[in-house]
This record gives sequence, structure tokens and C-alpha cells, in this order.
Amino acid sequence: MINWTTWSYLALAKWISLLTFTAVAIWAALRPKSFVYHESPNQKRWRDLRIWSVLLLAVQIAIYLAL
Amino acid sequence: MQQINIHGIDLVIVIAYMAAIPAFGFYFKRFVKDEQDYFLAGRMLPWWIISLSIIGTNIGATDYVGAAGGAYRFGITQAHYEWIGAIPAIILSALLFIPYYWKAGIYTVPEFLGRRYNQLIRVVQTILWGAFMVFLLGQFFWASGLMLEEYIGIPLTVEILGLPVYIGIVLTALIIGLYTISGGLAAVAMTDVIQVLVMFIGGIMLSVLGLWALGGWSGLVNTLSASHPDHLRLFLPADHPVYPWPGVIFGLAFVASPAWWCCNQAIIQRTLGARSEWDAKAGMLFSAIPKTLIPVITILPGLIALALNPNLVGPEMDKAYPWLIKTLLPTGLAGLVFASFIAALISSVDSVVNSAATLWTRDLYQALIVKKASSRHYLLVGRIMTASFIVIAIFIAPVMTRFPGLFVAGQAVLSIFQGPTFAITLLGIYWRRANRIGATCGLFGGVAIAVYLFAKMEISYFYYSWWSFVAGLLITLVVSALTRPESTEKLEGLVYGLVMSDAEIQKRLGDRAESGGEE
Repeated sequence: MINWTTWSYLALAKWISLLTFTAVAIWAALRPKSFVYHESPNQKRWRDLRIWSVLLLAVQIAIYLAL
Repeated sequence: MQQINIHGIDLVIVIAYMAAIPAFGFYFKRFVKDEQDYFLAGRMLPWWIISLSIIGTNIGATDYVGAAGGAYRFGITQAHYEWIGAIPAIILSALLFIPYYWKAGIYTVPEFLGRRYNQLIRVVQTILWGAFMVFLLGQFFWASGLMLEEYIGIPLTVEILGLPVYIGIVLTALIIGLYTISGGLAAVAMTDVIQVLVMFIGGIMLSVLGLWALGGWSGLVNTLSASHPDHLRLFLPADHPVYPWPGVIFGLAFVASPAWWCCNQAIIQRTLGARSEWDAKAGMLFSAIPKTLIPVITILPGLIALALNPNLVGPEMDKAYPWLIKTLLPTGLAGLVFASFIAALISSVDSVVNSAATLWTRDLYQALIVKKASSRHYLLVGRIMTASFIVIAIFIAPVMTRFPGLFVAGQAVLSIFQGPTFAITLLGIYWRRANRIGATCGLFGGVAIAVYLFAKMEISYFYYSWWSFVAGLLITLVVSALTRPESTEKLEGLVYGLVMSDAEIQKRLGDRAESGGEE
């Protein structure tokens, strides 16, 4: 029987976290260009909110892999 | 808290800061002409102000002490609130929810739910959030009184005409009231920007000095690895009473956190004051950067305190942060760190006051009592509401310390209704078949499940959020599927797949709002 309270299952928690970050990053990256730039004064690369989202989640993935 | 005496230049810094903030905030009074200026800052906020204001709202002075104490007690797992318990939810809020709130042209989240479903849900949500905010304000004001007494020696109470007057609390109320009542959201957001910068400067300074004392990051890790290795683990076992890992992931990351970041008026209101939809989304997204760094000024000091002094036990653990200030800070720097405490406190209180006033003005007074009046009338009511919430908080603060169960009850209410609120908001935007009967049953059914769990089972409160969310979601799905759908006309502009061009949306939603939001 699986013992969910042991330390060995903490790896599972970490993997679920990483999967969550990855899934949200993929979802954000797939938002349409017209949506992320809507009402933006211009379409410069730094205003692309998909890039912001993916970078933010990449930092989270790095933190959770490192700790 | 431990007595920390600050003198000379420290005191000057603190007093100058406490005088400068209301003066700066009061400047924005000149821009307030009507209710939109007051509640939504005239819809002129750029993304970077929104993001810093969101963080100022999110982090209070009690978070410093509480989070550092939590890190001292449980370790780095406390940081989940800032990472998996915030960042994915912030992105969902920015890209899933805010565009719909923005297009609907609303002032409050309950207003959106009122238009999408019915007035009952709007009123219930307003009362629940409003009550929670009053509890929160009471706690913040009490903390301010204690801080001013402990750090700069202002007595908590003095007797005037035989009655106890809480000097520190009244002083805080005056500072905040001066610019919050007059300047509204613009004053709150602009002062928040200054306060977040001060928070980070003070907090980072303390962490750097702490690491210096331990011989750097490796010194901290080596010390804790030897004495408290579990404090460096990100997740704790499933039978942990406070932070079980399934509760952290399913309750915190999947429900409580999205509910907080997507449905909390105090957070969302800043984005509704944005100058464009892009600024609203970008403002929310950018707040994830300081949010990611918050553990540097809250969790890290707790771990440093543990490495330097592992002898704090029981309630003393919550004094880890003050102990660190007392031990590490040389004369001249304590004032700056104390100013960062004040900044954290004021930036949270002003936001909660402003949001509570917005909720009660828009969703109770305007929706139920005086439906059609001039914009200046609602501006006046908003100012009276703001002043009223501040006065109520002054009186409730000392009462709450005599009845600590009151705040616990407030927190319990939040964890109980957050899950179902998130469920009906999510379905409201992304499932056009969700209707008013389904959502009403889902809201009350979800809350009933949470209350049952709360009364019958001693489990981590993360699980209340999770199961009440699941119940709210399922009940709304089933009841909506079995009852008559809403008309397409009612859903236009509010639901995924029924979004129109902006001008068209604003006109239709404006017309609908004038008729009370009901069909």
C-alpha cells in the first residue's frame, strides 16, 4: 500500500508542481498575438505578455528544481 | 514584540516618512472629480503603478512577522505562498479573468457576478468580502498600535476624560484617512509605489546583514543542514498538520490562490483602474516579479534567525523578525527598516479601506438603496463610506484582541467562501450554460460543504478550499444543466465566445447596468 506520508513521495509533489508550471507556461504561450497585444500602444517584443508569462514560470521551474 | 529602542536619526526618518506619505497622497485629491476618478483612479493607471500597488496591497506588516515566524517554525515551505501559491494564479488572473472584467466596464468583482448571474449573489459576495475586510482592518490597526508602542515608544493607550484612547491606532487612522478619503484609488496606488520601494530597501538590507553574519548563503545552508535539515525541504509530508503537500498543491495552488488573485476586490480593483486592457493585464503579470522576490525579505530573515539563534520556542518563534532587527541593525538603519514596516502596513490598510468602500458603495448602496443619482453623489457616499470603515476599524481593533476568535472566524469565512466563489466565477466566464440558479446553488452548496468540514473534521484549511471548490463546481454544473439557460443577450460581453467589439460591449453593458444588472 502506498504511504503518502513518507519523504519519498515528496518527489511526486515536486513533479506535480513542475508539471503545473509547465502547463500554465504552454497555455500562456499559445494565447493569440491579437489578445496579448490588445490595446497596447505598439507591438514591440517586450510588450508581448506571452514572453513575460513564460519567463516568470521559467524562474519558478528553476526555483523548484534547485530546492 | 521585543522592545527595540530607536533614537536620533532613526526617529527622524520614521517621523519624516509618516508625514511625507499622507502629504504625497493628499496631492491626488485635485484629480478626483467624480466616482470613476475616486474608485478607479479615472482609469489612468499605467501597468507599473498597478503592479507595485498590487504588491503593496498583498504584503502587510503582519506578513513580515508572520512569514518570518513561519519560516523559523516550518522552514522554506512557507515560501509556497509566494511561488506556486501565487505565480500561476497571477498569470491566470491576467490572461483569463481580467480581460472579461475589463470589457464588462465594472467597478467590482461582485458587480460582474451580479450582471452574469443575479443580484443575490452580488449582495452575498459584497457582505462576505466587506465583513472580512473589516476584520482585516481591525487586525492591521491593532498591529500598528503595537508597533508604534514597541518601536518608537508611543503608548498604546492614554486616558482622556476617563476613557482609554488608542493613540497609535488613531494616529495610523489619521495618516491613512487624510489621503484615502480625499484622493481615492489614485492616492492609494501612488503612495503604494513609494511604500513597496521602501519595503524592499529595508527588507533586503536586513537579509544582507544576516547573511553577512552567517558567512554568506553557504554559511546559512551549512548551518541549517546540520541543525534543521527539514527546514530546507520545499514540501512536507502529507500528514503534516499545517503544510501537507497535497493541501499545498490542491488547496493552495489550485483553489485558494486563484480565488485570491482572480476574485479579490482589493487586488482586482487596481487593474480596473488601468488606462488600457493591456496595462491591466501587464500590471497584474508584472506583480509576479516582486512577488517572487518577497521570500528574500520575509522567509530568508526567518531562516537566518533560526541559524543564528535556534533557541526561540513556542510563540517566541513569531518574534524571529524583531529579534533579528534588534541583533543585527546598527544605529541609523533601524529607522529605515521600521519605516519599511510602516510602509507595509499602510499600503495594505489604505487598499483594503478603499476597496471595502467601493464594494459597499457600488454593490449595496447604489445597487439596492439609491439606484439613480449623480456621479458626485456617489463620490460623496464613497468618501463617507471610506471614513466610516476607518472609524469602525478603530473601534473594532481593541475588541478583536479581547475576542481573538473574531479574526479566526473572519479567516475561516474567507477559506469557506473562496472556493465556491472561484468556481462560479470561472464557470461564469467560460461556460455560457452556467445560469443564475446553478450558480446560486453552487455558491451556497459549496459553502455548506466547507462549513460541514470545518465543524466535523480537524484538517488543514487548504482542504476546505479544495473540497468547497469541487462541490461548488459540480453543483453549478449539474443544476445549470438541468435548468433553463440564460438568454444570449444577457451573456453578451461577459462570457467567453460572446465577446463583442469594445464600443459595442460598453454600450450594451452600460444600458444593462442602468437597469440594475437584471434582465
